[in-house]
Amino acid sequence: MSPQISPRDRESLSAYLDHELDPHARTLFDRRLHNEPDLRAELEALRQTRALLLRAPRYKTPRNFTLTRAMAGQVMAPGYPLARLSFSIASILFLVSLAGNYLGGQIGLPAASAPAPVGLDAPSASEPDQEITRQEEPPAEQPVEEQSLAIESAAIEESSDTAGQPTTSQAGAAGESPTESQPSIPLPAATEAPTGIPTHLTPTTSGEQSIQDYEDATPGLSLDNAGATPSATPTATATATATSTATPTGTGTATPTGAPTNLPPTEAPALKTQPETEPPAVAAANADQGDSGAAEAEAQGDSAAVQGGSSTSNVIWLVAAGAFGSISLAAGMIALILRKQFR
Amino acid sequence: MDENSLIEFAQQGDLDAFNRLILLYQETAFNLAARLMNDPAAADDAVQEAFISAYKHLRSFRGGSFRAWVLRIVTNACYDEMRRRKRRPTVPLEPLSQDDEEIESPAWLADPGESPEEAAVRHELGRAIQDCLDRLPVEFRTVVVMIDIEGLDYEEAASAIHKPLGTIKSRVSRARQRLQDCLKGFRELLPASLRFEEELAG
Repeated sequence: MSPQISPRDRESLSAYLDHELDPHARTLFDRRLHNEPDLRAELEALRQTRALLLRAPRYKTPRNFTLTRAMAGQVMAPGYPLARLSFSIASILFLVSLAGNYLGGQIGLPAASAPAPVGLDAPSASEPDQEITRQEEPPAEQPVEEQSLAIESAAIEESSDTAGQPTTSQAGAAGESPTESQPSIPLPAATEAPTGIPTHLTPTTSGEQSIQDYEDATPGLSLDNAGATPSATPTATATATATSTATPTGTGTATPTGAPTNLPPTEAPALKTQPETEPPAVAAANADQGDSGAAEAEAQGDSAAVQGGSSTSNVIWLVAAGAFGSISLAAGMIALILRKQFR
Repeated sequence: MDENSLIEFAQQGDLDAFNRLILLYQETAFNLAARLMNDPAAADDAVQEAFISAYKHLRSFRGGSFRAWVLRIVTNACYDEMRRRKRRPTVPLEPLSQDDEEIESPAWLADPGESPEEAAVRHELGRAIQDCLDRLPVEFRTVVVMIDIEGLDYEEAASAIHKPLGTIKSRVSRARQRLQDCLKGFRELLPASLRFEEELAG
């Protein structure tokens, strides 16, 4: 071809042929074509080459390339986002249920762990105390008011009993605790709701020390502690009555240890020591509690049965949650795999 | 319904609208792929993959020439396929003639209105052009097929291969020069009318 045509002129020739030059450049190039025959001949050769390419046979499309629903479904199924969302929610629920079971086992669920302290406290409260049996006999669903009344009546009886028995043990215990004259006044109040305290104090403290005096004498006990344990569960009442019987023995320091509702087993010896220091008079007064021991054992059996039933239901629930969670987790993983595959 | 409306409906998930767009551009896409790869079967696969990919990424289309956007995806699919074939060469399934030359797929020669002589001319012309195209670097081949065979303007070609306009001008000029020189070697294979035109041009 014409060796004198520069690559830049060849680009201009192609652009001129394709009408890609701007009007001003096209006018200038028209002048050059008019004056330069080699440039004109090259333009004609390019035109022929382009015409040849335009005449090239075209491939017939072998088929239509339209996408079917299935092919479009590979991109994103219509229900796939919903399925992915459900799988994600199921996976989250599984994790939450597992965490709930784990934490429930660590902390102690109220419904499942409530009978356990009763069972634990019952042996420690095996001292002859009528109030224990009286408090344990009512079912867990007993209203707070009924329990309060029972405690009050029992406390009144016991205070009258102890008042009627001016024992030497009380005098002997006076050196240890100044609470000998108030055997049961503050302790039911410590376990009951604070609202029950004034009504309880009124009949029992007539002619005796007030609760404020008792609190002053036993700094370990305060109404704040009572307010901290407002639940009226059987466990609370049983513990409270145990401390109330211990009060005449002068172990005022044991009272705060009995205040917590869920008494740990390690604290049980504190209560168990009370019968040792219990005066013979109190022991004699409570000697008629053989039937109360039987009732206690029955209550123990009931609590064990409840405990066993709750543990069985816990296992069933754990297995069900695990199965549900496993299915959910597997579904979530399948969803993730499908998501990567469809990307 | 015009192209813009079809694009809008397709972007909202209307598969029928997208299929109508495919019908508009499948011939251009397939010819580009077949010219670039010189293998109709591979072009078939590449074009199908390209349309699936286009549907998947349809929301990324921000306007402009939809044809250029589709052809860019087709071109990329062809490049991927060519790279894959370069790593793993395959034996073509086309049957061989007596002189061990591949028999071209009759798909691109099928024209019921043609006489056998005309069909032979087209066959020879097509083979000559494809042979010369195959000798071009792939970036030159892409531009010259887009502009001289598929009829894109420079701006569309620049958008399709994502290169500046100056690059398109340069590449199409150099590609034409090389094709012009190459086709001279096939002059005796070209029909008389074309030989005459070539002689006039020369």
